[in-house]
Amino acid sequence: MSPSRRDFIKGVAAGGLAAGVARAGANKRFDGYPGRYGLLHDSTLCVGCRSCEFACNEVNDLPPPTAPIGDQKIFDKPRGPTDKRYTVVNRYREAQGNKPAVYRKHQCMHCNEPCCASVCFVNAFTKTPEGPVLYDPNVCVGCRYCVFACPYYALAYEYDDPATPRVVRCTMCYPLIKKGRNPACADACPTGAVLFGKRKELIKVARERIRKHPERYVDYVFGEHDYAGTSWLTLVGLPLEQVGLPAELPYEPLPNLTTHFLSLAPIVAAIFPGLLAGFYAFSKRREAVSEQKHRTQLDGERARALAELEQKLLEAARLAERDKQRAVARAQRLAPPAEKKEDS
Amino acid sequence: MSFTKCIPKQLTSCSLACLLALVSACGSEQQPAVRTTEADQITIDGPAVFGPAQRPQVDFPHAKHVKQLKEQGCKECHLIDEKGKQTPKLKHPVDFSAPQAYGNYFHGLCIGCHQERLDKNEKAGPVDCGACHRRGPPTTSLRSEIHFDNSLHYRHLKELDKKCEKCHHTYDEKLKKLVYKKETESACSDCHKDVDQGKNLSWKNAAHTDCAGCHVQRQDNKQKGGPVACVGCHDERERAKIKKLDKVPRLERKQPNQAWIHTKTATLNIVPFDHAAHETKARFCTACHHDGMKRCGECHTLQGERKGAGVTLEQAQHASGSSLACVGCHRQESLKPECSGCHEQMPVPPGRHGCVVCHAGPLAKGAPKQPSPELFAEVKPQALPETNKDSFPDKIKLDTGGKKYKPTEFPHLKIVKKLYALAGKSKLAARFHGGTEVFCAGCHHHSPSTPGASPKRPPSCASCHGAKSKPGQDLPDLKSAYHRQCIGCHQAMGLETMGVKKPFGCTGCHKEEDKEVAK
Repeated sequence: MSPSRRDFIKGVAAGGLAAGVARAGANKRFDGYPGRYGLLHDSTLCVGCRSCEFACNEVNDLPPPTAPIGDQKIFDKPRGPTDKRYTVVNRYREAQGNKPAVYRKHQCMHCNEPCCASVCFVNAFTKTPEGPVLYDPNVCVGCRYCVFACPYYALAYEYDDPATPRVVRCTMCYPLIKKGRNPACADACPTGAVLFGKRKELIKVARERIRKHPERYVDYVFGEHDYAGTSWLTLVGLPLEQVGLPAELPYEPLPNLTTHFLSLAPIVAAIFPGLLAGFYAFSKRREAVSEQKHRTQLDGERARALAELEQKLLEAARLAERDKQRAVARAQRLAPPAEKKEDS
Repeated sequence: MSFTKCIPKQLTSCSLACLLALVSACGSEQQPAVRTTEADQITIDGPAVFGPAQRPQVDFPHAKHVKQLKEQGCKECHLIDEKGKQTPKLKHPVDFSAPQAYGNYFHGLCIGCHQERLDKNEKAGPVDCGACHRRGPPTTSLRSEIHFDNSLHYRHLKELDKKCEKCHHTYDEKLKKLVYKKETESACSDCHKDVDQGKNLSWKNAAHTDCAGCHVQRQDNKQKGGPVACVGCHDERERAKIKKLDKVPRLERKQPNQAWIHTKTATLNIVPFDHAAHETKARFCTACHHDGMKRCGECHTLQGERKGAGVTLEQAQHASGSSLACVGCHRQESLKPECSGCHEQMPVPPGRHGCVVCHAGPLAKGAPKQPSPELFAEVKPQALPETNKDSFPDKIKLDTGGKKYKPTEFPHLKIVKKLYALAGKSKLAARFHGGTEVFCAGCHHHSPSTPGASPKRPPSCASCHGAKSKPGQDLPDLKSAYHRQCIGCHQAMGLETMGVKKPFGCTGCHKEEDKEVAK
């Protein structure tokens, strides 16, 4: 038996309510996984020994850095992460008198809203509840969108591996974290410039350091809010631009710039064929209608012209008839004298 | 209609911008981003109200003109006032009435003279536009201000036979003229502010009239005198040649030798202040008396008033960020290389023991009129204790159980002796490092530092710093604590600048484990 009208209305109401509840759930803010880990790099404590580079390469089975610890020439040119080194220490100011040199460690920042993940169309990147952003080489198709999308230039690609090239970057030592150990760089740092811990606690530590030493730090924790924040936090003693970090980044996650826009793609794909077909049909129909109208108009014109012509002909015939009669009448008027003449 | 109209406009401006960017990018490769000009070069540019000028500014080389016009002297261009004194004013006042008039004034002056000299077949400056109005990157000048310090003041005093009235004056409202009143001398900048106010010249014009004018006059009279060229005062390299007295005799202005710093309502012990001792350390009176020779409390009241720019008396004396405040100036002193090894790592404001070092007098109520001389007696550093393996070791083995490098031996006594000697050199440091426990707190930073209450042996690093860091407490692990303390101190003291060879790299302190095994 088909549902009654009353049943149908009930169902619609219940559905609407359920949708409302669901929307209320989606309206809540998500501040990232609670208790996730992070790393704090205090660049004012970094002495440029590059122990972190050595430890990183060891843990990740990469060849050890060629320049030994203490080699100052390596700092002459700024370096970036490559497939042979996931982290680099760069120097941004040379030592002058009792002003020490300024160094900063760079690597994948493990964003809260990773751009690499947002551009990847095979979902090779995962933001784990622990904090690290992981990469799955098995699904990667090698498009390298992620490499170009990263706002921190922290991803590299194994160009010299023709068979199974991968995108490579810092993993935040995910296997070690899972075992309850610190990332290799944090353990290797002799001055404790790299500190591993819960991200929330690290932010408190960073703020406290700034409060205690206002002369030493720029009052800013890089990575707390930049593009919705990163797992790596950086404290700096020089303005951000001077240590190679972008300044005044918006709080808005970078993927938001495109996801809202791109989320329209399925809608466009679904609606456009029908819409365009509709437009086509509409314009076709309009053409047909106008053709029809035109033709009717033409026919009317012709009929009117014919009728007019007929009228004119009739008129002409009538005039001719009249002329004829007049001529006859004139002839008749002139005729009698002639007859008279004839007669006479 | 308006939309279609604006498209081509935007396109043209876009392409123009691109073209400009391209041109500037090409240009920047050849020329440096900033041009440095000598201290004597005066920038001649239209006032901002005239809007952007057709041609770039002119960097007027003053020294070159002085050299060429040596015979004619300053009066060739600058005005001599009715008293016969050389002033920095131009002979003919600049015409600011309109951009055209302003331009014509300088063009007439400069090109007129250049052309005149050319006609006489004399060496002359350019007469074509581009030679003076040169395009190029923005300029930075080497020009910097001279500070008239204690030494320079005394040298003037001596040269002028202690005739203060030669420079110092005040304006008498009744007599409507400048008069000199003994012992009311004040700094020039107390009256001469940033801009001319009627007859009261700006600080800049006053200095160039009185200082430079006198120097020129003395040069003309073949007397010993100060610099007459711009660079003599305004170039750092030239200023370094000015003689500096090691010991400057005290200025006589009836200032107190020693005084109390206090307010009537103060509840804490009041502060005995050695004015005489501070005079020798400060650059000049204005280092503290920044707006007239007044007491702090005359402008900085307890509540903070308009006359004191809203700064309360408490802030005026304790603001750690201002060099005008007691604490701020002492803080700056503590960041000198020889002190900053310990102090750079200390948070602001520093230690808890600090208050009583200054607040060493009695309570305000019933205090004698003058502080007793004992309060200012020089503090001698306490003798170091005997070295003892347990309480005061000579050397300490620093071992965190690391695998790559061997433990290092820390020369505890050597370092203590060095720092002790440095602290003993300065009266200020000696006073603030009264007991050895205060001194020890430089490294043993959380050990109790209240005088008399300290245990015989401060806690060692390992007492607090464990094998693993506790990020929640921001307590570094032992390895980090060692490295931060040692490297932080070495960096802050700038060991090389003090003539001490700094340990370099890891092996500067440690021996590598592997190499030892290989041997």
